[in-house]
Amino acid sequence: MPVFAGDFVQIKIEGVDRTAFVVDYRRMSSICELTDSFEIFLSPNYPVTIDPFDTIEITEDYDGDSGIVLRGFITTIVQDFEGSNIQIRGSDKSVLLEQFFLSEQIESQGQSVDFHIKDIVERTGLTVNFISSSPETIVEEGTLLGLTSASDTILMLERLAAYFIKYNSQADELQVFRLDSAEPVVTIDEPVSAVRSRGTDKTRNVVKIYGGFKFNPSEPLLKKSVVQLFAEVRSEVKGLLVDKTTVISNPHLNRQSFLFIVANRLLNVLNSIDDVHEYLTVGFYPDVVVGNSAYIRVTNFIKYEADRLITTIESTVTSVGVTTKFIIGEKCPRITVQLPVPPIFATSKQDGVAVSWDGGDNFQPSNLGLTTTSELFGKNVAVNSYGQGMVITEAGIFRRFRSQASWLAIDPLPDPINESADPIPVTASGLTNLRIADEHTNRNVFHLLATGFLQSGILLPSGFARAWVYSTDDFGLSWRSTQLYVPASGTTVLETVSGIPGRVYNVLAHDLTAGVDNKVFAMVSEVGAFITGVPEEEKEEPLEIYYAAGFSASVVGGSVGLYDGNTVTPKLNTSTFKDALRVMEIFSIPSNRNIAYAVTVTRDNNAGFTAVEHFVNVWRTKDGGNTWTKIIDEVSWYSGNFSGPSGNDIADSVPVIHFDETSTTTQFNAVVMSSTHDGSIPSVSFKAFFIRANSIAETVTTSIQTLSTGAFSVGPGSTIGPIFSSLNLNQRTAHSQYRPPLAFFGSHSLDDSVSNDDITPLSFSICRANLLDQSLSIRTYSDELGGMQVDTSTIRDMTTHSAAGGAIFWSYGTIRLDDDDIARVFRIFMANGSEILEENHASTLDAWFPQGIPYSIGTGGATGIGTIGPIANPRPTELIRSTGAIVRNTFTLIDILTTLALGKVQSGLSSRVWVLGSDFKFSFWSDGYINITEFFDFETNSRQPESFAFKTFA
Amino acid sequence: MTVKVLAHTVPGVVGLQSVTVTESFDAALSQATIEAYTTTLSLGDPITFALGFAGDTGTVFTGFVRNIIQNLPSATVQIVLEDVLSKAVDFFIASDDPQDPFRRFNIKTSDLVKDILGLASITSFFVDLPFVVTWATGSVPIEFNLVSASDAARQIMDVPAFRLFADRSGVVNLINRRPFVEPGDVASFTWTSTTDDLISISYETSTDNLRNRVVVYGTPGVQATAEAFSPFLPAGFTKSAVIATPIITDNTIAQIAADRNLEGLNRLTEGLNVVIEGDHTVRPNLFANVTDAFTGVSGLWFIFRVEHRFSNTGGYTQAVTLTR
Repeated sequence: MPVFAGDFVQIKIEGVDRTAFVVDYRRMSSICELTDSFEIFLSPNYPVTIDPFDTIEITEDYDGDSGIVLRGFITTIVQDFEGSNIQIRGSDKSVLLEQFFLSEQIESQGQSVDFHIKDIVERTGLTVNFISSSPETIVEEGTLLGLTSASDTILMLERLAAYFIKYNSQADELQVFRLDSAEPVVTIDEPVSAVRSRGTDKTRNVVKIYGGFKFNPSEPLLKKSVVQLFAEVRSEVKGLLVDKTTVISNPHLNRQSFLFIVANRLLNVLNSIDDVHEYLTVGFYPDVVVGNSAYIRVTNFIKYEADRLITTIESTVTSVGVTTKFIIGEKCPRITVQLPVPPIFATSKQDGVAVSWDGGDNFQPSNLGLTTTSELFGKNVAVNSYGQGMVITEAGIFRRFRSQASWLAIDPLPDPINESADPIPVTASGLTNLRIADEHTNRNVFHLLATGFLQSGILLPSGFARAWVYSTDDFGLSWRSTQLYVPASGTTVLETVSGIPGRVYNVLAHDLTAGVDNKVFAMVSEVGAFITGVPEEEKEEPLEIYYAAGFSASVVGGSVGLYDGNTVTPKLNTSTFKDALRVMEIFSIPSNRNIAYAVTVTRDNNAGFTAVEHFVNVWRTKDGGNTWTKIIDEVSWYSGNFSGPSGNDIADSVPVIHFDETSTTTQFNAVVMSSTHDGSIPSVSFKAFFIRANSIAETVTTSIQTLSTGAFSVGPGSTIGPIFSSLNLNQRTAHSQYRPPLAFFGSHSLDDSVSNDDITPLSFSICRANLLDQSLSIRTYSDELGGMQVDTSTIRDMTTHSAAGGAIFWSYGTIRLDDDDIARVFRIFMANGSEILEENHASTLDAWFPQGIPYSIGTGGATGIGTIGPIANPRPTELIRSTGAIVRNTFTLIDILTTLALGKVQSGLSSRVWVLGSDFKFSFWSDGYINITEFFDFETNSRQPESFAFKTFA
Repeated sequence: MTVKVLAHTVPGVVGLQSVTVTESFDAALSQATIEAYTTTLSLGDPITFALGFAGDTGTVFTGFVRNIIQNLPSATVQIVLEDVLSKAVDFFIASDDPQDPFRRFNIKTSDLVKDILGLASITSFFVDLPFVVTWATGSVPIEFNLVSASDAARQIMDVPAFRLFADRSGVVNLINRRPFVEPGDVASFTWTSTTDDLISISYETSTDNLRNRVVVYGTPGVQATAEAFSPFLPAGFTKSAVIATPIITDNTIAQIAADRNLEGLNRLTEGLNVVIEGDHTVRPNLFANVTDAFTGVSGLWFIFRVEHRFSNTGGYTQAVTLTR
């Protein structure tokens, strides 16, 4: 039966059109509720008796749009003599889930969430359609379901897989879906009334997770102590009076990494102020459902423009008219430790923007609107949690509202502010845009790192660089710039170039990123200097920058420090160093990011090359970097003599600092490792400086351990070659809570220690430091190179993947065999924290195999590295590239990625980033960026369902 | 007739339309709502303001901005404020280790409450308690976890029937005050219907909240009972109230809780609701002599709740609830 013009709503009860009896009508649908509901007043002359569970079908019609908006049942009938009306209330068919009691207990055998949802839904007689699915998301074996209503069980299951489940009356089926990045389906620009409410009722800036229990394996079997896993993450939200904490307790969260994943994801949803909008509009929108996006543009008073997720729809017909109320911004998060992985965005030189929806297995182009060669030359991309994205290309900056939308060119930037008072300042046309960063939960807010170079002959030398952060809070319609400085030794941050006699600023911009708490960090240097910045939430105040200044290797007495952009006093000034730093690292305690340790190693260069004395210094802050206390003051650690840079007598390596990522407020562990090779002695000597501190009791202990390989690594008649490089084998400990935190340091050389057959092998020596018992051990391995003479060898890098009970180390490099370059991969497996089960595992690989990225190791494809065997496709830890080398995806053979940089994953998780290193890029630890939890079981070299299912970008 | 001109010191708003301030003996905190055309206030901003008439204003509220609501088509903004105890409401006590919660031994009531509210960064207190109640004097500690600082503090203060509130200057008061007239109480105000002090008045009484027996259960083995005759109940009939909480760890505190709460409960519920012309000095915890021929009430009454109604259309009035 057609909808009659002017009726707006058609009501069929038990299949009979009863529209003529409708007096008032109201329907409500909310993303936070399982069922849609209705309330209808019927005139008193309604001709038949209405019974509970009579069927009802509601069609809304307005201005040519018509659709069935509810199929369900009448559950309540109220006849009021005084009002002379019949009131009926009810819900859509999902009410059957509430009414159906699961009278038996269902024990999961490890089946998927999808399996259980389908099973339970079918018991109620409904059908279910999985718009989104996650067959790898399992209900842990032994989990008991049932003995409750079907809706309660479904509610538990939908949270396990981060689903939303609603009844789609149009399709007449229950649908399982996740909120995606869809284009707005409705425009709200002339509401009848509007209410925008901002508050903090549902805001939380601290999330604490109580998880399952673990035993301490270091204690005797009968005395094992039980420790409950715990994780805490926090951020800062402007507008809160005190910390607001939410607590989750779930014994099924049985790994420390899972706790942090859940905590971070929950924080990601809750750590913004509540900003709920209600817009009352004329008419019906039968095609719009909760979970759709609306483009909102209110130009008067509220002055708000954005597309937002619709969380509630309330449509009414009364004597005054037909209206629909849209509510947006309500918080009802779905958090899971399991899938889905958030999308990853990447840029490429030839293929613009790519997106992966499966954690990096497959990328696909996402370039609608980018067509020319220069537009498809992507440099960097950022996408916030609302799906708003910006990409830097050779053709300029583009933006789009959703991942399915077109990229739209942004007008050229305004000229940057000239705070350095350069006589001929850099203009916008001279800028190079380097990085773009979003504030994750602040809609419309993006930051851009740009650099430009001074022209020649104007006081300052030509080619000197300047750097700015451009910020927008209207999604690129307008920008303001903040100039970035590098503080000089003994000077203040705010001094301008001209104000520092004899000191010339040459500010190099390197990187820009943002954490989950919307703090944005920029990195600039002169030779090595770093800045972190903290924009304000509301964007009404200037960008506040915190500086961490680095050192100048060319200037004796160079300094390092953390500077507050609003003051002139360095927070941490290490200008008393004997010489420029050799290495420096900074680490904050995962459970309390206000506590951080900075470790530096300096070398006294005043005596020239005749002295190589090293000094270890450690600082600690307990107030987020405002004040620093030096807790270890220039402890002389390494000293010796050598004849000069060209000599071969003694060569000490650059030290490496490792932190125990499981450090707590009561036990912080770190170790500084280095090695020395005396060319006259066929041995490598490793040295470790252990640091242990308690930030509560403020105690500090140190220990220096030394261990030598002895002569065993070099056989009779052989010679040991130079130590080409020292390998930083920093083990990630975030997912190995059953094993003590370990750090690795290695060196390699050419020798003939194995067979003494004049075939030169490549020898590895790896020193392992146990940060708990502060002990060292060494393993040495050798690889015969198959009868070919080695001319040179360069081991480029080494990386680590840890697994429960074991860890695996990858290294690769190019070895020149006669006149041919052959790239090789080495794999060393360590299990149980002590025993090495496999020795090095060499194979050829594609020369394009990317530096530092064990990404293309696969079982097939064109990369020619298939000899690795069952270790397939470890995920990228980062794809930031400087060389432009091709990163191939061997699973799909879609060679779309000449990747320069990855965009931020949409559920970015880092609450605070501390970086102070010699590499000009941000690096992230277990609670930040794209850091892969275990994905493969390296012990058996096979995929494990539980580890596979728990892959995430934490 | 004397014409009075409204006066206020509400900061950060343009086009003030109305102000409502609610202070109540039984509320966790005081609230205020401001309606104006525009505001420069932001969430979390501290605020204090006075209301009254020209030449006679006084501070009636000190607190923080908690909600900002913009409305169309009226083009007005509503600002919701709460006093300093909103920090305690927001702060959720959650230890890093459930086996090691917030825990104290052998501690006075005021120190314990100050410790708890200190977790929520509340540091300004006024303490005037007539006797010392010491908690957890034995081997069993008093513990709190997974509860808001506000609820924890009130649980403690409610046992001996003490009063916790933030005054108009933002100081948290820990005092001995019960919502009825006790010896020594004197009137700060006199309102009679014959002199037009009262714009309206209503009176009600009931036995709904009357209890003439209080039983207290604490930790295992700790309990106390207090019972008294009630002339308003049938002879020999008792209505019981039960206080059961693990924070009571010894019988001394249990008996104090039983006796003090029985004094408050073993009485008729009598309430007066009056509307008076605005007087910024009227506040809860003071007393008024009220006389009205129609309802027949007279005598000393405890000011239980005050709602300031201040607007450019309705002037400045107060709705006052009194008990005894």
